[in-house]
Amino acid sequence: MKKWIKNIVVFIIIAVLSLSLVSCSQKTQEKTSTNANSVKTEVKATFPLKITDFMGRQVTIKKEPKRIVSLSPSTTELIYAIGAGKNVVGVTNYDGYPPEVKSVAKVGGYEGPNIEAILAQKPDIVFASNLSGKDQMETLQKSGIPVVVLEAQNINQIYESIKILGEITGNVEKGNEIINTMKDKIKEINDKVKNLPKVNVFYVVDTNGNWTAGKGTFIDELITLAGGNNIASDANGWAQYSMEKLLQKNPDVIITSQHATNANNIKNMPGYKDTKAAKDGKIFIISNDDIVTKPSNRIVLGLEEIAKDLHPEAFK
Amino acid sequence: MSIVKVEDLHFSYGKIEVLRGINFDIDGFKMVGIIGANGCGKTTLLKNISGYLKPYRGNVYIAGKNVNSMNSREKARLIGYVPQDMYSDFEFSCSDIVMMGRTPYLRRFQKETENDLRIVRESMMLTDTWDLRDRYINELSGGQRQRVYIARALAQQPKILLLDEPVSHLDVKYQIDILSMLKQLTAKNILIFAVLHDINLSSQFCDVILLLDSGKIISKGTPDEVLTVENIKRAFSIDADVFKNPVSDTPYIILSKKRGEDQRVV
Amino acid sequence: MKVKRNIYFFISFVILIASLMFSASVGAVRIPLKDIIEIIFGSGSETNRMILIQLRFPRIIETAVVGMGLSVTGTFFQGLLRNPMADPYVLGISSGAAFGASIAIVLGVGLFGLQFMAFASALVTIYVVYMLSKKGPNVSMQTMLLAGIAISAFMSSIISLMMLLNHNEMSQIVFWTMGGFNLITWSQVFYTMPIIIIGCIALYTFSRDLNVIMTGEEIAEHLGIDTERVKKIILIVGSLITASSVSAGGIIGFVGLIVPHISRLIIGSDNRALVPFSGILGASFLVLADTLARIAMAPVEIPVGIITAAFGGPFFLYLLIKNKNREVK
Repeated sequence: MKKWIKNIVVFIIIAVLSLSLVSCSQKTQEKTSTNANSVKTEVKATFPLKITDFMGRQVTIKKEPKRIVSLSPSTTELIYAIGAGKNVVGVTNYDGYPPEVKSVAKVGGYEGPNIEAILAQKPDIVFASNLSGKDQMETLQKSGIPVVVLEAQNINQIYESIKILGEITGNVEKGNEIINTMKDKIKEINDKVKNLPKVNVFYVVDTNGNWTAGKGTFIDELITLAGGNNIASDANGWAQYSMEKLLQKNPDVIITSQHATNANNIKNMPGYKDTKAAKDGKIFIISNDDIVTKPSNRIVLGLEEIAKDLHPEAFK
Repeated sequence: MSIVKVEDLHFSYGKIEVLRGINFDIDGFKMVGIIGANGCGKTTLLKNISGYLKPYRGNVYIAGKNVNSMNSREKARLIGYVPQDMYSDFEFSCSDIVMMGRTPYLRRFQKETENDLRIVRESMMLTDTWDLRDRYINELSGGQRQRVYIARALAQQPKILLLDEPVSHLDVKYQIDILSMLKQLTAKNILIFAVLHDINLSSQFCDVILLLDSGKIISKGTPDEVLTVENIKRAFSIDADVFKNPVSDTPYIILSKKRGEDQRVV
Repeated sequence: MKVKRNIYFFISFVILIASLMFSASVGAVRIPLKDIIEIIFGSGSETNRMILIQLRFPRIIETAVVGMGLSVTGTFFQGLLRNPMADPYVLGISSGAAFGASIAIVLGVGLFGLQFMAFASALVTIYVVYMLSKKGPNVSMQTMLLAGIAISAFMSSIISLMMLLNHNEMSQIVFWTMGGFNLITWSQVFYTMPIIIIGCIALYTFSRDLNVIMTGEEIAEHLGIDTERVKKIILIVGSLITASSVSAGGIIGFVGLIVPHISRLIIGSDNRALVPFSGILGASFLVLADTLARIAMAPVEIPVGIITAAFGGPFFLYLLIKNKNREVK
């Protein structure tokens, strides 16, 4: 009978080891985001241009690109915003803004670019994201097409993206203009609310599983700028949040997305219904998910909406 | 008094006819050997006698009652069945295995009684397995395992015991042990049907032999009556020399390929 | 022998009670036992009362009940299929439930709809597997195993297709399949607990039959057991238990596989002792696993299926090696 005691000890050890592997992978995820903070651009108004992208890659762009493929919908938005939209020849199936992209050729899904479709467009530059597939990007790079990875995870990094895009597409002034407009608007909103008492907020990404936006997400940053306190900031990234903790922290306001399951009925759902937010009727649905999740210049609209939800008196 | 009577039994697996009219009547507690070449229908016959398989024509009567009109429990109290050795990965003690033989007497929620325990003990003593009662069945040798399965069948307190090749894969010692034990059981009013592979063993131990060929009985009776050169040739397609076994006073068969050449002794 | 068994049972009960008490006092919100008792008797903080009574108690109860259900069903399926690698999902229930859940998620029907569709879809799947395996009045367990694998593969590919076409819902579907109890409230307990408990008791009454069937279906027939009827009952009741469990907690793997094995090592193969022992051990195991899921990265919830897989994966390997050695021997 002693045999089974030994056996159980063996798999408890193995189990502990495998669980620690899970926590290890969490740490490597955080590592890549800190690299992005050291993005540098060498300011050269002329080509060839050497830039370091968000993955720390050194990319040389020989001449101003005339045929741009964008594998990231948020980058596409920024390209159009700085005035280089006419040069866009390929986008993904998931691009939807601005409306002009409807007529642009589709070269793949968000995580799965179609190399043949990309090459068919004869691009002279490809803008990718972290999810674009390392091997495929290497293939493109090897065939002589520069691949630039932009992956902004906070507002400052959006500014960096705009700067890089401005330089690459020869729209430096327009880029700066957009950055300044954003900064001004954000300051304007923040000034209105920064001295008001902070409102406790919980963002419901989906009710099935109580998904929320924790620390490091745009939503988290926006809530803070909007004069709120994201009660889920003790979680990192997108996470399933403990219902118990939610009740204990008892948010004043709940914000959710139209795509959340039963978004209109959160006030009656078990768990949520016992929060102050539900009882006070302060549950808001964001008009458009894009403006709070996509790293583009429209993020300012998201900030404005959230700030109005949290501090309506300041915007009358 | 007829104990087992089989009348015009026809059975087929789907379109394949296996038993083509079996008739016999056993009227005493004897040891009956069923022999024949592989594929002649021995196992199928056994399963028809037990009522596990239903013939498309003909009947099986046990003590005058039609087997197929009995319900499961009734059959299980009358007929014990021991299949060819089955290896099991699961650990049951031998006494647990033999106690399973009491299933036809126990209701769903009923616990085993003193009587059941006594019968299990008797069955195990009869088969010389009482010493093995706390050992796990999958730790035993083939011979020991077989005796435990026989004990289980005996725990059913059957009138008829059906065994499918009970000794084919066992050592010679166990072959003799088990067949002797079975023979002795007839004295306790149990009718034994054993499908046997070895002609000489059947001759040595059986009171009655049923010789099967292609789904029919081509000979039935005592070993002397059945085990003739012609019958063996017909059933096994092989030549034989019939001698007398001095110990059992029954036929002793030596098989050969051709007369005078290539002697092959079984 | 009997005395040893009773001691093991006693210990297993103690472990279960201890697990329940431990689980009640820890979580993203720590509520010490002292406070729990206060709350039960009427006083104590209002927030903690709400957390304990609306969220934690039903969750612990559901977890224990599902742990018991999966372990008992796993024990029966392993015996019925005469395969030590079997678990409650092996006949296609898990992919059937995932299929129903995926459709529910894509349609956005909300929690109750999701759970109902998972439940219904699981039952329909096993019915299909059963009908495919039937030959006249008989059903071969080995054929069911193969049919279950085939149907599972087919459904998995449809689920993948659905995920591809519904990019937004993909992560939700993936997380549902990993299993989790973070949304359990009293209504889930109300719907699933009666089915699972009654189901387990019903299965238990067939323990003796299962013992005999495990030594051979032919033998069982000859001993007077109506094996076809018993097989059907075990399949139906086992499926109901599993479908209920899956509707509440998603697909929680390895509980139905490991717990019967560990139990068998301690208490032996006789199902009359093994079944209840598995049930008690399974309840404790899942309660503790879910507790870990709640506290390991609090306030973030880890899907409990990951925890059970962390223990189950190595164990499964161990089983394979053990079986391999036996064959070589």
